[in-house]
Amino acid sequence: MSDPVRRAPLREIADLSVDDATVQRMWRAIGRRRARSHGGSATWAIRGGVAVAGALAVALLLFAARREEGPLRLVAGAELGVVEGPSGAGSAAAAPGPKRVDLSDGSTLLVGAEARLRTLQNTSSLLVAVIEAGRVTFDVEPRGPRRWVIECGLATLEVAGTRFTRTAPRTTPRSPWSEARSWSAASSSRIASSGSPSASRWR
Amino acid sequence: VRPALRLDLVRLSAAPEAGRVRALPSPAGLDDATLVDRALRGDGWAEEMIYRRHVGYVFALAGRLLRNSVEAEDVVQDTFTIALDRIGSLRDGVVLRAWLAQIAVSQVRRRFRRKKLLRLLHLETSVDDSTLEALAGGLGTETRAELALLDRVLATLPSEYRLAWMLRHVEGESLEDIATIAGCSLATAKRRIAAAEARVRMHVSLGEASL
Repeated sequence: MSDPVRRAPLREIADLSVDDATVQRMWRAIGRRRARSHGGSATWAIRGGVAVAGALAVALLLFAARREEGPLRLVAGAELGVVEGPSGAGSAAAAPGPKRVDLSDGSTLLVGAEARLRTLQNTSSLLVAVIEAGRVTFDVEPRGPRRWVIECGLATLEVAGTRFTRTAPRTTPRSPWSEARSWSAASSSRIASSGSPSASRWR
Repeated sequence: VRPALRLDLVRLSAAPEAGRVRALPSPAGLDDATLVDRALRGDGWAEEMIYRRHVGYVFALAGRLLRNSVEAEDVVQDTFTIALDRIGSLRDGVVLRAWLAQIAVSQVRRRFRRKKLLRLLHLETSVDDSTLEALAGGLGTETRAELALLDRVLATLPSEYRLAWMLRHVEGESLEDIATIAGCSLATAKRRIAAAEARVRMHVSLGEASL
């Protein structure tokens, strides 16, 4: 680029010089700053590494804990499978009381006479069960690790932590099971909770 | 009596003739590109030579732009700290001086912004000790009065205009270098200088009354 008009720059009359002592002092300060910034970055790298390692350790522990939870079991250790209430073969006056079933997550079932609860799906995060007959009272531990889904007749209940009682409709023994299987097959069009539980309360 | 021969000696531990000692050429004989090359290989002596060669220029540039010698010292330290840490990003050692000026001007800009904020909050307390008038101490009264007027006019300009004008007329940089240092296109640099010049001419022709 042509630069035809070039006067003497003003710096020639407005000189700003720096003495040797200042030059030396500034050089030492630069050395200190550089050492600090290098040390600082190394410190941050170490801190970052420790933080990442800690986060990984926590994630591994959580993963291991989840793996250990596994499916819901009876307190005794047996699989949930089918739970049946006491047989009411005697007279009405001598009808037996409900059978108490304690589960591994702290929840409790009270399975009434002639009642039958069948587990359809049981994982660390989900329990799906169907009441095929009779009355079952659920006392679900709140904030537990898994979602509870109870199928009963035309109702599907999803439970987080509550106590409720559900009675199967009076039909032939095979009929509710057939209904439950058909719902399970059409899970994308699940029937929402219809009808209210016979008794429930939030803890 | 023969005068003592003074040599700067350096030990070449990494070279094939490890352990041998050879004379290092005087810093005056090494250009910027060579010094940058040596600094890239971790030569502390070359880093210090880069600093010593350009510290005067960076200090004067920052001092005149900021009008304050204390802040200029801060800018020098920031500039060389950044430059020596990032010297690997300098592709051509020949442009070392302009690159240093570019870093220094970016640091000056940061201080302009901070000063502007402090001024808004009425917290600005620094005293301008490096104005053009103050630096031209040995000149006559009339010239110093003109420079004082110029100082006041420059203080009214937007910082980008003032930077461009001072790089051109105070530092005597070429238009291309101004564009590089200010980090803008050549056209923008020219436009800023022209706009600043128009304001300076107007105020200078109208005199004190215009300020």
